[in-house]
Amino acid sequence: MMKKIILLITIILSILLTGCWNYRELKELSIVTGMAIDKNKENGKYIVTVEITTPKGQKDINMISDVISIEGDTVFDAVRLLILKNGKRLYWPHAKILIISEDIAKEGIFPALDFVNRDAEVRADIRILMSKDCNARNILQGKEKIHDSISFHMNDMMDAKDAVQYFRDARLWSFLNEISSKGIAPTLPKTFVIESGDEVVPEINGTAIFREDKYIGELDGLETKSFLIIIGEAKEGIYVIKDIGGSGESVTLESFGIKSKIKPEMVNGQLIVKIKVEMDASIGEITGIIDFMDDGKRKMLEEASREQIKKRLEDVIKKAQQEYDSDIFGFGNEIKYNMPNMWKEIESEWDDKFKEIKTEVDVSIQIKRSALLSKPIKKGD
Amino acid sequence: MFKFVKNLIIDEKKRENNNNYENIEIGNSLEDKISMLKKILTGDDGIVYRRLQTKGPNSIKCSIIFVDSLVDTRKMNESVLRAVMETSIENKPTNRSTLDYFIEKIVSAGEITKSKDVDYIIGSILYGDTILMIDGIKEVLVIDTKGWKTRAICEPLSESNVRGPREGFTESIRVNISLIRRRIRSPKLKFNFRELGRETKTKVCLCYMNGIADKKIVKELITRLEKIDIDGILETGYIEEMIKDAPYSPFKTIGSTERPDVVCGRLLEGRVALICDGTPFVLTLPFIFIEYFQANEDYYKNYIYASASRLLRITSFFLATSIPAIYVSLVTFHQEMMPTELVMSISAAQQGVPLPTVVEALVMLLVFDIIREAGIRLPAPIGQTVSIVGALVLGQAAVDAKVISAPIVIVTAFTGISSFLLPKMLDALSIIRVVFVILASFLGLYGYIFGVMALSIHLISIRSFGVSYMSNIASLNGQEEKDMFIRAPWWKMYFRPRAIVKEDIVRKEDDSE
Repeated sequence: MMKKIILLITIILSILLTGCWNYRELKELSIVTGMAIDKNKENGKYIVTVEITTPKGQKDINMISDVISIEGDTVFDAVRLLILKNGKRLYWPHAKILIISEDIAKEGIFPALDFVNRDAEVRADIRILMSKDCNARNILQGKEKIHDSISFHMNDMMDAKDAVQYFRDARLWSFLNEISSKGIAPTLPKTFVIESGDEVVPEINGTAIFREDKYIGELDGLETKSFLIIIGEAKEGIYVIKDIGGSGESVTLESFGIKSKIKPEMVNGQLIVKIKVEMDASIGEITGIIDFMDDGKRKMLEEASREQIKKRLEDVIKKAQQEYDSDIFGFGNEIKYNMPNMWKEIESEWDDKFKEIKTEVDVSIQIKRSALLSKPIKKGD
Repeated sequence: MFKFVKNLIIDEKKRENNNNYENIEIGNSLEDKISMLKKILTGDDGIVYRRLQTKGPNSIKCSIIFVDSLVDTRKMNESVLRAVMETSIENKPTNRSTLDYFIEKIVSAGEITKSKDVDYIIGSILYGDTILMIDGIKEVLVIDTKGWKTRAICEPLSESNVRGPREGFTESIRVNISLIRRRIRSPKLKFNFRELGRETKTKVCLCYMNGIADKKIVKELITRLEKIDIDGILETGYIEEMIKDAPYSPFKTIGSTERPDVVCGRLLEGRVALICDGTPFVLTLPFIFIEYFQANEDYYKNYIYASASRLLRITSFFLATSIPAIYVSLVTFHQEMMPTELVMSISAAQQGVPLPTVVEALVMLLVFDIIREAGIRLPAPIGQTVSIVGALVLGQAAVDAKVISAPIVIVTAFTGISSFLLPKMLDALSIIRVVFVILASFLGLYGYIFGVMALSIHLISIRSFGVSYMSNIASLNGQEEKDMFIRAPWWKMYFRPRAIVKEDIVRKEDDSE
């Protein structure tokens, strides 16, 4: 009998005395959807800006987003100080976007990233962008008609990256991996604001190139497209081929399957990185009246596309090698995996070696389809 | 201490109430016997005492006694009253042969027994038999003239189906037995009668297939029935509760059904049935967990649909127990596990609602059970009003007035509908889900998982008449799985369930060769 009573008390106490561990009501949370980190140049403090999205209304849900920002000695300090303005603690797991300002990126991105990487509430798959030519907070403070929340809008834009390919999708974890790896230089998508009338609209376009954790240069949208083909992140996309065979006509190719392979090889005692790109494409648009599905013409089109795309790829590689001297393609990693002994030799001087390494680009394009039309539109015979 | 006092009182009461007729000697003369019976049955005006005589020179004085409302009057008139009165007896037979003469030549009823056991005679009178007493003979004749109005056989309300027989059991044990016997015309089918209840003397019938049913189970059932000591049995529920395994568990370990086809199916699978007079519900045992998910219609319709609906029932068991708990733990502990859109819409719905999510969930589950309970016992026309009021007022209006949030209404409604797929488990489900919600409100998904573990341990530990409650759930034997989560086609089911049947295991010869 006594035993039973003791057992009962133990059970009741173990339930009652625990309290509600981590119990929090959803409606009491301030859900952070986006975050921007700036640095005040005058006093060296960090300015943390967050976008808090609060849904309102039971049937027709309206997202009301508030952007608040505050200064703090460190990022975490500022994050805690945000409570002063917001009134509630912030809830981070649903944050989609993290924007780092150009100023911080130039000085080194580590101090700004440490908090988001260390804190348990921020997810490792948060998307990182770098703001160019403006403060990071300006982007969150912009106005966007399609979505109520800038962060959701930017997140959707980045989800649609495969169709556009003017920027690369970078997550916190992948970016940190790239920083810590010697064989690849990290890159981030670039974002800025466009002022149209009195509206300020955010846009993502181009790639910011880093050496270690410092921002050193950039690629524009078209270069990013070529860059994505080389690193194999482009699976589909459209490519405009101009002035085919001197005819002055342009064809837009829509590609559904792009395969690319980076393979370092020793040829005559010299290290050559071979880049092999295979592309399946269909004709998506023809600006003129030439029927490119005709066998001879198709050869011509394939030839022209191969030339033009190859040139674009080579240009990007050249830019990375000569202008920025930054191994954004991960050639180093490919050497490490394919020729581990070789990598051990050159690892320490890879930063210098990368500039001089020889590359060979091989593009093959097959045009198989022409969408719904087999022949271009003709004027009356 | 209390137990001792209780036993003392019970013993005392027993001594007082025990109508011990065994010591009463039955007299020889007609007058003796009539006065003796009148003395025992005094105060009961429904009993008819009728004196009569045979014709002829050696006429014999007789008397019949019966209960007016329990006998079939026409049957009694023809086979006893008129038969005796129109018989002319020329030579007076000896005492011994008089009885036989009556049985063989005069009374034309189907079932006649000789008896001088007063207890038995009284019991027979009160069960609709007619007693024929003959002057000068100690033994009396008990003639079966039972005949009373019973409810017509109709479709059982608690278990309706689309395809399958529409007959259901009635309150009469004789009709019920006929319904079973008509379906299984095998000499293996045994009916074994006994009486339960000191006062009600309810007739109970044990029913099993000899050679298929496990003898140990039959024996165990008989020993358990013999231990029952109660004044009355009005429904099989009394017996079920007194002989069931795991008596504190919310789960059934003895099945009950209103359908003769279900009983026959279970008899053929080696189970034992227990029919009780006065109720259409027949017990079947042993009962294992998977039987909750087996409906009789599964066996009548196409096996693909049958399997699909059985899987649906199993899914709905999970849903009916878990949805409120999972909802509560996601909303109050693991907001990061939901997609952002869902977080936003739930958060929007909860704005301005005063109650915490856990309280909301518990209140809504309670309200649902109240509406359900209200609907069950009301007459059908009012029952519909209840559901309309419940759905409209409590659902729509409460959400509009921001007393409760819309998602919890959805969660509760979905849980409720899911639980209706398992009508026999309704009571157990409503307990389990409340426990799960409370656990989830303390520890989130962690607490919910604890609940699931405890439930599994409990279910696995139960046995029903020696058969493991979860038997075959985790079996790797293909044959045994054919009637578990799916229902295999009949031409593939070669064996009876091995967990229950020990001897005659073959249901169907394998004719594939």
